[in-house]
Amino acid sequence: MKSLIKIKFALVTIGLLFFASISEAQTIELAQDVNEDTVISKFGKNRKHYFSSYFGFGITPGQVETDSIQLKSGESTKLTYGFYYKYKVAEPYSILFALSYGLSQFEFETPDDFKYRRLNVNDVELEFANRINFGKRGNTIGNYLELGISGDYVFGTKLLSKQIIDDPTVNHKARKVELTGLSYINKPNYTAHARFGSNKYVITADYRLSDLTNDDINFDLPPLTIGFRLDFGG
Amino acid sequence: MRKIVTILLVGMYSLSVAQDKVWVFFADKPDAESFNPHTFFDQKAIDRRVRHNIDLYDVSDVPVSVTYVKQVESITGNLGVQSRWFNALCCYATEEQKEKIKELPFVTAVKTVSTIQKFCAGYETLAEDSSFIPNKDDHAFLQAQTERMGASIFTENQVTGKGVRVAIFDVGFKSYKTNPAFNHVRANNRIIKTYNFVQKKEDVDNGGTHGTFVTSCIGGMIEGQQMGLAIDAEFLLARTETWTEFYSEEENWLAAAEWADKNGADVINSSLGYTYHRYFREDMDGTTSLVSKAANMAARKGIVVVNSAGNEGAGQWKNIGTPADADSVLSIGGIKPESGIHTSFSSFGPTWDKRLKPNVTAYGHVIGSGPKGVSETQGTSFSGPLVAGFVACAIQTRPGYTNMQIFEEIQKAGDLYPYFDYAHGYGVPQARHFFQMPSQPRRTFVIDVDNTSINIELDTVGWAAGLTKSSAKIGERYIQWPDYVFYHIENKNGYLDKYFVVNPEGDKGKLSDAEIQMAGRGTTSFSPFIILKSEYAKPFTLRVFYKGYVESVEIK
Repeated sequence: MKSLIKIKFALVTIGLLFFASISEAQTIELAQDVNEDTVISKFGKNRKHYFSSYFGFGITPGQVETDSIQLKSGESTKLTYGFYYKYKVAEPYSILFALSYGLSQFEFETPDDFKYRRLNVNDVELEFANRINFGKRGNTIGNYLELGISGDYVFGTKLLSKQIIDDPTVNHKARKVELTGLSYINKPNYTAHARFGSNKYVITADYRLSDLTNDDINFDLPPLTIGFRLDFGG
Repeated sequence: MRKIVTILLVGMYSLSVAQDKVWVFFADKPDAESFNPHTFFDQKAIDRRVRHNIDLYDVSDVPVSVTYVKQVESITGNLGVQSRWFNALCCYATEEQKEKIKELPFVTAVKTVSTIQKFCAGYETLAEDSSFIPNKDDHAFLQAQTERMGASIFTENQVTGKGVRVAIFDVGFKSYKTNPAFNHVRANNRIIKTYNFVQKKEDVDNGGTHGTFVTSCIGGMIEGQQMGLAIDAEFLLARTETWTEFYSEEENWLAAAEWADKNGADVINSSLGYTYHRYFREDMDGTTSLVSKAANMAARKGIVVVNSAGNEGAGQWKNIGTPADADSVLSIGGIKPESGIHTSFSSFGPTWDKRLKPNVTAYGHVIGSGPKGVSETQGTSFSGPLVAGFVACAIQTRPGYTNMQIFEEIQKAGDLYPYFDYAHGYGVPQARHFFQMPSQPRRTFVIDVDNTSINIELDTVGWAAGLTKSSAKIGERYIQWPDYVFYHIENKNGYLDKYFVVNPEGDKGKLSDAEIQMAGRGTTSFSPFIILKSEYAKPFTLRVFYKGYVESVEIK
């Protein structure tokens, strides 16, 4: 009996393989599984869970409070790249957790024989934020106001300068100096963030609440950065 | 620095807390007794009501009370759209004003709509040519886009949408006053009325070119070649779309529908659809959005509402938008001329509550006429108007029919009917249906069911007997009828679980006619199909369409 079943199974298999080989010429032009389209997703721009990466650019407009050195007006910047997870608590309110990398560049005024003098500060920021949305919307990010606070950790600092040497008796024409691991930069910091977003376009304002420099030098760097951000979506 | 932060935060806050937009609903219409439908409505609107046995004194047709409107305006200082159908008006109000409005004895509800400002919006990019003289290929394409629905049959029977009034809602109709595609329309004063619901004026020669292309696909004619089927129809043109605020477009749509009703429209064409910006897919149930309610109401007034399915087929949204989800709206999907089947961008059905959408399909790639000339463009925005022109012709052939009878007949006229799926609906409507010329389909396949599988054997005798390829050549263009095997799996609730379109010829389908002849069509190599029963939950119904023949089997 068992052998008969095996023979039947083998015949059906051979038959199916035969037909399958015959039907190789057929091509499926359209195949739709309707059930897959009728499941309510938990992930999305206005769903329970949402991930997005983002890129931000800001200008640090302030000035250092000392006479010994000055920042070039409007040339200090901050680049940010990160991603966030949004959890929708209720229709207008969500909480967010963000992890980002930031590169702050402070451009200092220099004597005429210097091409630049620049302080680079690399940090990672772990942020918690509250987002309040305005207006009815579908599955979009919508318009929102966001307030958050982040703990930042500086993992790399570099002071760069380039001096032009206008001396025919010297072989090289410029002197580049790079100082790393600057001891006067505080590693842990914390920053307040405020944002106004309209879908993927975001206006940002970040205000560092802690001093970036310690007592080794007598001034601090400006704490405010104003800029924009582009969310790439999840 | 702190000042800057404060200013920034205050600025952000003030940006985000604007006045609310609200709908104010009224309890009654005290002016109802003095309502005179004969002075209020266009004669064609009266005729339509008579034809549909609609009471001329239906209270929903009485305008909103002027007294009520004035009292609300005295509180808010502004007024928006007024709806006689829903006995309501739209306006902006602060919380304090809302409370005052609620205290008015004749107000039943104040519902906040809120607003979302559009950051950007987009339509299909239309690569416009700079000539109104179609080249040879354009001519062939134009002929194909109308002949695919049986234009020559309508022409032979002098059916051109004559006497049928079509209202078109769109973003703007730039150049409609001068565009050569509408010379024949303007010459006979068949643009009856226009209204710009965005700018509150009559001029609609602004806003965009989308409506111009759409109108040409309903009743345009260029160099003696018709671009749509309803070349003798009358037109009402309404601009409803704005670039600045989402929800006001739906309010404009409602206002335009009431305007179209008042002015005697028989057909509304709306190549507009609203999706994820405002809604979730589960909202596509035909009852959630204002615009779907408005569309259903327009249908209740006897108007055939034609709406494009949408262009989200290849996107994340994938499904139809609203008001294409409304049950009384004839939703139109798009097909690709070259293959004769679903074109990738055309939105899929069904509705969230599993009703069939789109209902029928037409070309999603067309030649239209814009301000600078005729050019090829794509989108279900143009499938809809092609069918709207067809509907106008259908109404001309069936003058006594109600709008929902026409709706049913359009579905029955589909070239896949009674087969359907959620990409094609019932297929492309065919003019022959309206002239007692239904083709008698020959049996083109046999379904054989055994213990484990269902075998569909295509009619190889038919092939051998020289069953011709279902296409016709016009110039360099083919008109392709569905030459594929369509099959779907319907579950016990009557909904489709899965559906397929298969090219039985496979790679052979890509060969030229001459090459196919050389390859010896009529062999058995295209058959059979095998469907394993175990892949689907029982009971289910398998329904198959092939070359006009439809058969189904129930598997228990």
